[in-house]
Amino acid sequence: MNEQEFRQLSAGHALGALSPADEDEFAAALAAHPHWANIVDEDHDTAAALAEQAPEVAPPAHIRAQLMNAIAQTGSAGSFGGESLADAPTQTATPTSTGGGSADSFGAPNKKVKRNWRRGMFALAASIAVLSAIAFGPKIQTVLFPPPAEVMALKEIQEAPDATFASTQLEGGGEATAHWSGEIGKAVLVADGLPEIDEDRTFELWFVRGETPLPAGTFDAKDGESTALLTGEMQAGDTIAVTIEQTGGSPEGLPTTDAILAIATT
Amino acid sequence: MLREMVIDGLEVPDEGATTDHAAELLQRVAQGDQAAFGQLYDMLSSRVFGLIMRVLVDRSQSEEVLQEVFLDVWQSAAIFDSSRGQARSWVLTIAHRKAVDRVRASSSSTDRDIRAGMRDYSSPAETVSDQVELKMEGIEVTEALATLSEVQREVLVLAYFGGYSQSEIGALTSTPLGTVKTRMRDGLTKLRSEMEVGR
Repeated sequence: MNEQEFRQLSAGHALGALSPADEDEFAAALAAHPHWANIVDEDHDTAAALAEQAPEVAPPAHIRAQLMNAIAQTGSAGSFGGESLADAPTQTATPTSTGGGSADSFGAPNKKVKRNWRRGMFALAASIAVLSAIAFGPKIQTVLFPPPAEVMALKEIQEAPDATFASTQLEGGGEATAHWSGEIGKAVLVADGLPEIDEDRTFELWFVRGETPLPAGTFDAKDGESTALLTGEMQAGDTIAVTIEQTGGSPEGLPTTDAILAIATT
Repeated sequence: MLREMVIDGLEVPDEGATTDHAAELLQRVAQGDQAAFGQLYDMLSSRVFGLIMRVLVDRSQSEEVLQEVFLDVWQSAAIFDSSRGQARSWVLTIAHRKAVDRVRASSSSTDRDIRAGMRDYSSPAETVSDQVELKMEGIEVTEALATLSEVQREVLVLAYFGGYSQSEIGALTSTPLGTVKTRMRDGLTKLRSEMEVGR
């Protein structure tokens, strides 16, 4: 995807008008090209300015009282550890989680938070509608349709304090971006424009630690695009590399071809 | 002309957002400061509720969504990053998304017809005269909207206030989907540059 195509998706995203398929494409493209996050930020700001066109309407006073009561019951926001229970725009320092889209409702609160939250929910019993909307809103969706492991991992990485990414151009015009966190020991590779490979071939991931390549799983691409979670513990300083191997991965556990991409995680 | 405008009960300098009061409050909310949450609510709730009402029309549904929005702000304040935009925009983005989600979830076609019927504000001149009480920023965006072509304004208004998806807008206006997407991009770009000129 080129930048112009992405700009078109970004406008639709900021206005909340993308189809679910386009929304996924938007999220994938942003993960592959993190430096496009500033486009998304600008579009969000512009779209939000439209809100100023709607006349202000003072809400009824009881809503404020209910909210203040509810937050008093749910403990401090700080205890949520910065994780979103619902689908707030995850405007973190990480690039792919800007704004809306399917990728931001994956915050996985820990058990304690859940309990606190539930206790708070009962405080809201007077407002049944709110209770049902929150208890049965986005969470059910997440339970019924859990996001794939690589999406969960990407989310987890992006919320880590040491989240980092680096991109590299591929021969033939593609781009690959590695997202990693040494603290949680995970890395995800997002690529588009991967070369076409024969049916009996697959892409294999490697952590190159010093001089030693450690196999980190295989993946296939669809239309040259892929998001892949590297298996095994990532260590800071590893180089993330991809080679093309026979289906199932290199049997010797060592690369048999030259890497098509390599990204250092310093 | 007044160079100091009262926006949402706070006196802020006209010269851009050198200080983002909402961001300061959000940072305190992230630490669990309930009083700051109350102040943030007082600062933004009328604006947020106005936006939700515009999208949803139905008052009781709008009240529910307003609560969802501010509970979400309470939970998610820690992930707001002031280097990437204004706090006010961040809150409005949450509000808009939740309002649109609610519209999409509503299966009643009569709701949509009612909303469509009430949405005859694509003429900016009318909007200005109808809403003389609009605050500074509202006028700014209204003036910027007026510089867009009719078809650009139409797609922005249908999407943002109508909650329609790009394909729905294509069907409503008998326009190919690709054209809708292009108009949306061009419209948003023009809107941004016009608002920057106005500043």
